[in-house]
Amino acid sequence: MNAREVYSALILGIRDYFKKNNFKKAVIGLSGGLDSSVAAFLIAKALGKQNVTAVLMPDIGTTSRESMKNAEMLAKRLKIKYYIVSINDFVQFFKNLGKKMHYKNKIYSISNVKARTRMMILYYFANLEGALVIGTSDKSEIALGYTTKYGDNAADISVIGDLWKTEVIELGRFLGVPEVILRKKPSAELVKGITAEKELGAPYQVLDRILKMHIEEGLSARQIKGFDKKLVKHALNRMRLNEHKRRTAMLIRISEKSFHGMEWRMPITNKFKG
Amino acid sequence: MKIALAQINPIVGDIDGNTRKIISLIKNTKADILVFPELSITGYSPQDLMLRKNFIEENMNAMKKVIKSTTNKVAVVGFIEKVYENIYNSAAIIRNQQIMEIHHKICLPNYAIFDEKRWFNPGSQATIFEFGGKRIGVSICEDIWFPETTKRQKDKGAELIINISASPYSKGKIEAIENVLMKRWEESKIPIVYVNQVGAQDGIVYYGHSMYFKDGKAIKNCRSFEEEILVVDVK
Repeated sequence: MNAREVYSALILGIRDYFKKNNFKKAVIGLSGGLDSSVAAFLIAKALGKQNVTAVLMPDIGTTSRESMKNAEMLAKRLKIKYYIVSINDFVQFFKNLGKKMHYKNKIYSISNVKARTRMMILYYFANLEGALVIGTSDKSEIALGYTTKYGDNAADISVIGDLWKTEVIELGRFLGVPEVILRKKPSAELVKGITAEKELGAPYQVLDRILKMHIEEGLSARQIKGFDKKLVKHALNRMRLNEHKRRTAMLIRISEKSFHGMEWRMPITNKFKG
Repeated sequence: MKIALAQINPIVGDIDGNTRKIISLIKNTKADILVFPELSITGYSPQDLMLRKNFIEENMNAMKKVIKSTTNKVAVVGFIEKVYENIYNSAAIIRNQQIMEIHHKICLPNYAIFDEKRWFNPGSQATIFEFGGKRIGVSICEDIWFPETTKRQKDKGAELIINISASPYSKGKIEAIENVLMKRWEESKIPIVYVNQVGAQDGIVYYGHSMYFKDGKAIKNCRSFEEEILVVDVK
C-alpha cells in the first residue's frame, strides 16, 4: 500500500464531505485501540485539532487501565479536547431490567447495550457541538460483521472503512501513531479479557488474507487454499449472515418510486434545490 | 498553442457555483484552450438527480451561459445534453459564443461504483474539431481506457487528444491511468491532454493528477488530490 497516497485520498475524502455539507466539527469515541486512534489522527489533520472532540467511554471493571491510559495519551498528543463519560450507570439500568427475566443471552445483549450506549453519548455530544460522528470500523470488521448494529457501526462518516485491519496498522505507522497502540492485541472490550482473535478464531493477519481472496479475487471457500477449512467457512459464513449490518433497515417496496436502496440513488452531498 | 488543464473540484448539484467558476476561469486564464473535467457543470456524479427534468434543464441553461461567455478562446466543458428524451454524458467544445462540436461519451462504465447506463445513452461519434491549424480529438473518461475511440480519431486526422474525466481513486489507480495513456501513445503516437476532476463526493475520491502526456511520458502533471490550473504549451 502506498500509505502517503492513501492518506491524501482519505484526508480529501473527509475534508470535502464536511466542507460540501457545511460541517466543521467532529466527535469521535476513543478506546485507546488501533482503529479509533488512526481515525483520530486523520480527522485532526483533515479538520484541525480545534474542531475535534473526543469522548472516552470506559466501562469500569471491563475496560483495561492500559486502554484508558492510551486513549488519554493520544488525545493529549493530538491536542484535542476530550471528555470522560463512563457507561456503567446506563448499563446497570439494563442489567437490573434483565434481573427478573429468564433469558439465556443476557451477556450478549448487555454487550450490545454497551456499544449502543456509547453511540448515544457520541450523538449527544455531536448535537451539542453541531458536529458529525466519526465511524471507526475497519474493512475487516465490516466484512465479518464484527460490530454492534447501530452501536459502534452507527456514525455519519466511516473514515477507515475501506482499509483492512493490516492496512490500518500500516497507515498508523505512517502517521506516527504510538507503537504501544499499533502492537496491542485488538479487542472490543465488551467482555473482560476477550480478544478479537479469540472471538473470530484467528488473528487479523490471517483473516485479512482469507477475506481478500474472497472479496477482491472472487475465490470460493473451496478455492481458498492454505488455511484451516473450518476457519474459511466460518469467516465466509459470518460475512453472509451479517450482510444486514452493512445496510439500514430493509424496506418493503410497493411503488415504482420507493426509497429502497436499489431504487433511490440520490447523492448526500447535493446543492441542487429544485 | 497553450492549453489550460482546469483541474477543478465542482460540487454536485451546485450548478450556479460550478458555472460561475468555469466562466471566471475562461475569462481569467491565459490560454488558447481551456479544458474542464467530465460533467463539470453538475459535478460528478449527480446520480438520480439526472432523473429530474428540471435538473437537466438547469444544466442545459447553465451551459448556454458558459457558451455566451466565450470569446476567441476554446473551452471544453462537461455537461449533460438532452436530445429528445435521451440524455448523454457530453463535452461541449465552444468558442466565440458558439458550439463548435459536442462529444457524447461512447463507453459508459457500468461496473463497480459506476452505473452510467442507468442514466445515459451511449454516443457513437469519434469527435474531432479544428483549431489553430490542428485537428483535435475529444473523448470522455472511459473512452480513453479502450483503443477504439482514439484510433477512430487518428483515422480522422487527429494530432492531439483531449480527454475529460471524473476518475475515482483506488489503490494503484494513478499508475493504472498512466499505463493506459502509455498504451494509447504507443498505438497512436498522438499526445494526450488528460483532465480529471479532483475532490470527493460522498466518499468517492477523485484524484486529479491531470496530465499532458507526450513521447511516452507525462511531460507535465497537476498535483494529485488538489485543485490546480496548469497551462501547458503544446507545439
